[in-house]
Amino acid sequence: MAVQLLRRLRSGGPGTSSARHPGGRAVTAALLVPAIAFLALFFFYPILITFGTSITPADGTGVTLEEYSTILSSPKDWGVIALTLGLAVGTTVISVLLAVPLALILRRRIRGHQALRLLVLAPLMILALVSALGLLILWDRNGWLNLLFSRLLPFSDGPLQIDYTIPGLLIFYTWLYSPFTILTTLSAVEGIDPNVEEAARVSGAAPWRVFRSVTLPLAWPGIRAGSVLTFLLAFGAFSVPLIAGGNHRPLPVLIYTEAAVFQNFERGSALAMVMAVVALAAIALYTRFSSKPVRGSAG
Amino acid sequence: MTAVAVAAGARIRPRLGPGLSRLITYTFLLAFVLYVLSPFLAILVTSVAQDWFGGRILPGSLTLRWFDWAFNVTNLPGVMANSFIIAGLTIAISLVIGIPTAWALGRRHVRARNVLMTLILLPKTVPPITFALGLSREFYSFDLVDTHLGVALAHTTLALPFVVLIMSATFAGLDERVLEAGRVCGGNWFRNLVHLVLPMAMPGLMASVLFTFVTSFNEFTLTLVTYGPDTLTLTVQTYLAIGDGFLEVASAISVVLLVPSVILLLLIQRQIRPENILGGVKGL
Amino acid sequence: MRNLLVVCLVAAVVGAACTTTGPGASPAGSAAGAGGSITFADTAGGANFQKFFGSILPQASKDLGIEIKYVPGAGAELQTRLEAQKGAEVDVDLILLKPDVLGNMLKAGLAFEPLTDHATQIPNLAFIEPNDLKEAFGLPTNGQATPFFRDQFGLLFDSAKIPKPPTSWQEFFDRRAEWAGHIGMIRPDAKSGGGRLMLRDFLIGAGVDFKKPLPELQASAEWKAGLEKFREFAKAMYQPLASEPTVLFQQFKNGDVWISEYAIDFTLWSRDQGLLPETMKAAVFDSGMYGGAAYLAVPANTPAAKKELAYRVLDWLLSEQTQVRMQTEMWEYMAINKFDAVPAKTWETIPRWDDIQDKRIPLTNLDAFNWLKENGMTYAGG
Repeated sequence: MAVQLLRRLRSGGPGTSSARHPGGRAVTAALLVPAIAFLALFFFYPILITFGTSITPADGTGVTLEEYSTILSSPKDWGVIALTLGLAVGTTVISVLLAVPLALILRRRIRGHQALRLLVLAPLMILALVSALGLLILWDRNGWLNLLFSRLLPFSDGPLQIDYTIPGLLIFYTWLYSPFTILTTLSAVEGIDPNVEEAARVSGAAPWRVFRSVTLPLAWPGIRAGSVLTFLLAFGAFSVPLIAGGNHRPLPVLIYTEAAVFQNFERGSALAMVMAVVALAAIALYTRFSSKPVRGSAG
Repeated sequence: MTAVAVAAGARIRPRLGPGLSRLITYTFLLAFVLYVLSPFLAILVTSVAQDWFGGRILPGSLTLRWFDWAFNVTNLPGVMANSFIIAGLTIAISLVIGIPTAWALGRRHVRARNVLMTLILLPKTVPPITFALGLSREFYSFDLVDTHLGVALAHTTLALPFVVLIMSATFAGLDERVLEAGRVCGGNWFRNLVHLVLPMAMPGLMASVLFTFVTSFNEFTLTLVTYGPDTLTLTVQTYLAIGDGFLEVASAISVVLLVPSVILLLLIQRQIRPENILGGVKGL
Repeated sequence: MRNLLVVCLVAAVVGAACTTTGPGASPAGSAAGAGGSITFADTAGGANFQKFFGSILPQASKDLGIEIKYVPGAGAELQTRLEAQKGAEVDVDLILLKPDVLGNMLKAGLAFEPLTDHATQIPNLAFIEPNDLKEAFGLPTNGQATPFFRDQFGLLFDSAKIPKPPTSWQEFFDRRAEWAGHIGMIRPDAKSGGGRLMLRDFLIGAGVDFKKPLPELQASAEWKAGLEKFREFAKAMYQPLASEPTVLFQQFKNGDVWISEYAIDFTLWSRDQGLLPETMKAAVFDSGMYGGAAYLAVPANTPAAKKELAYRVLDWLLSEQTQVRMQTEMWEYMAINKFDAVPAKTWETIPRWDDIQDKRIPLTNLDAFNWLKENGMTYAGG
């Protein structure tokens, strides 16, 4: 019955009714022009210069794909791409796993929930470089959290090595970028009509079933929007891995090293282009395959 | 009885469940609070720390020198004003460009929808450094360097994806029945916009404003290539203050920064109240 | 409430638009300049230099009657700015450059005013080492830049943890097991040059002659042996290597790192501020360690009137009173050869100029240095 309710509510979704587009294509085009013009001027033109640099050979004449073939045939570079992707995916997964229960708890308006909502957004209020250094101090072998945990965890025989490790990076990335997922999840979850869930509950569904069949699908678009943001930010993270990543240096750090330190703009630009392609492919895959929970709707 | 209970608009039970689930919940929340707050505590202590080395838990002595430094040496008030002005401009430009775009992508029939969405997301998929140089050269030709507007335009490239993503999802999720009711009741499109769409879109709008503000306020790379003496922002100043490894003043700056940020958060937070979202028109 | 917020937002935006001209953000030296004003771009230092300039520039303004607009910044961005303004009038009148930035700018074809042509306006140039005006890192500068201070790298160590430090690279290498895991170094491929300078100085200590051009070096036996020796040495270092100076300093603070080679000035300054243990000390090996300078220059396409003002400020910066303050407060070696004017107490903390003068190895052979930058990590992976 819950599913039927769901279908009815969503039957009025966009694109399924007629007479929704007064003015037709001209108005649509007019609405899109500002963004296209802006991006053309302030992003595509500069990035085209970057792309041009990446295909310019050393002697300056003609076109070459040498940089790209070097990257694609280098196991080390593939390792860096894999590292970047792994960190981003890991961060996104952890963020979602953190966001959903948190949103459900906050929805219940327990005491102090207002303060908690503010707290969620706190990591956004501090410059990434400063928080990277703060996290580094906090988690190093003499840092407060490390001392706390090594007392709590029975199997550790001393401070844990968190800084400069992959688990450490995941902890830091999540701290920095999960707020985006948490916020949109919270908005999405609170936007659910409680009557729908109540109806499902009343018709006999167990709480877990209600969650899986009603709450989650309804909240999913919001969760997904936020997790895309988290993914993109984690993919592009720079300050944190530079300061606290040790020998784990993802793409942004590599690009920085090539362009700003080695002054090798050709390779730096090529790496940036590869980075963009990988990010977009990842997001495309994600959006394609994450429509499943929303059954019986246009996605 | 079922129908009555439902029709009475039953709400989420405000109390938590039995003992164990409450324990788990509170442990989870406590861990979360600790996790989020701890770096702030570290930065706070760093901002007043002296003689904090050798693995000591706490600094050997406390001092307010770094705050004094932040205000007097790095001209904190002036720099903060720049950051705020630029962030405000970024919000304005991003909304003006982003909302019509989001409306089109979220509610209207756009054939190349996915392509367009991808193009708009592109600036966030590459490190800013990759288009920063090209952008700054363009700015020199347009004489936009060292202007608040110029820096704001640079920041908008990174903020626009936020606005479009969030607002298109918001617009797409607008309750059709409400809009239909508005149309049927004969209101003109402007009235409907202000009285129906705006309230429903408010949470998404607030989220967009918040993310845009944060993006601009914390943006470093693009600011570094477009700033000048009159547009020194907090991020650049903090970075410069760190220099060779002098974290203390940067920490003090960050602590001072938290004050307006928290105020802004409080202002915005009041707008994301759930009762505003539903507006009482729901019913079966 | 909602309406109030919307009104606030609109007001903020309108207010922002109206104030696009914005308040200036430069604090120092803004005394009412009856004699005009110049813009001074500082790319050399962090908050320590900002504070230093914050205290001396107002004095300069008062003495000279010139308003000095102080702008801290980063070297690469200043270079972009100057390149974009090539052929037109530039809006920066006096700049302070880190050594590598000056090198890059000269190589990029940017021109600066030959200061030696203006010796009458800059009398203090007479006290600068003549050679310092002729070249920097093996590149001829033709007087286009003058040192503002001379900085020195040294062995930096916590004397509480290391009461008997090594006195040479060989000794450092032989005794490395004593400090295994506590030897610090910045990655050779970092933005900051500290790590690759340490690597270079190590190689010099191992017998490599950096006066040879790179291809010759690479073919030589000492080069290969030196690099292998360094690989061995790196195994005793704290891993992972610090990615930037900030991280190295954190490691010193934590007590993870006890000894490294880095700039004496910032380390001692930090010690004075209570940011590093009081027991931190500095020493310079006989085989030599990096010695460099930060340079003042006036862009060639600065408006002529501003140039005149810039020369006067430059001269003031090279004056004895300023330079002695530089020496005692910032732990930099003066650019002018007037070390007698420095209080004797200073030399209890840092080596005397005469002691280290012959041990200073400036940055030359950029090709070899860049090779170390790009390939050093393969030997330092530990």
